[in-house]
Amino acid sequence: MLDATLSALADPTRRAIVGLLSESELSVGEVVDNFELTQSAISRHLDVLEHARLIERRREGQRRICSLSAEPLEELSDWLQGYKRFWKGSLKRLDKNLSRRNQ
Amino acid sequence: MMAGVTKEKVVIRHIVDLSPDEAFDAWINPKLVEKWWGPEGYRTVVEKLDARPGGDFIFQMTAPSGASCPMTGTYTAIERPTSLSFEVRDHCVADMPDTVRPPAHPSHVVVAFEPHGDKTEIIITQAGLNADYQLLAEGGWGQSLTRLAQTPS
Repeated sequence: MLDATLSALADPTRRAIVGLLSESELSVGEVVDNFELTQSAISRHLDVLEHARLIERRREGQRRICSLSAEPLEELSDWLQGYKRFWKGSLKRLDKNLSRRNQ
Repeated sequence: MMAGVTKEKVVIRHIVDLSPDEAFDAWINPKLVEKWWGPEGYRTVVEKLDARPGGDFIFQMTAPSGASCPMTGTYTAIERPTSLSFEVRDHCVADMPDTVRPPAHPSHVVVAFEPHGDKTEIIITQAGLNADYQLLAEGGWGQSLTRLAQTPS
């Protein structure tokens, strides 16, 4: 799942779409209004995001509503935070176990 | 301690009460490495540490749960006492969430040692996880995603 998330977010337009949807859910038309791209180009980006499970689309009357799906982003966060945690934890121990004042 | 993310890299800074030479030694002397490598509760055994450009390292790490895995890689630059660089080939992910898998490609780590009075600031820059999604690494999701939204397309 992480691979799909990363490859979906490798594109700047798709990152911008995810950014927009993090503020509120939007109809497909409203997403299109935010870009200088055709509806079919945006639809293709939405297909990729939906396939990666980053967004969900549902129908409300005539409108198709896009919303963010948190789970893949949480997984990505866990992964990135994992390396930050690794180094921060290690450096704390370096200071604690090796610094002069603790010798 | 500060941790931040620039456009392309994860950067972590920490000031230690050591001279640059002492801080540098902490990274390449196996006996010293074993005293701190890995987060709290981890145990690290240095199986190999060849601190020369092209030299390999193999650190066997054991997580608090007992899960064990090696962290391995190759040193690319050794410049006492200002910096050292290495590529991480195997990322040990013991005790990380089940959904988290190690990256498929090596990541590049640069460690800089900058004197601050009689202390030293260690600056770790980890790159190569993937430039495009480092933007997501900082802070809470709201903040990250706001920044994503501002990324020019």
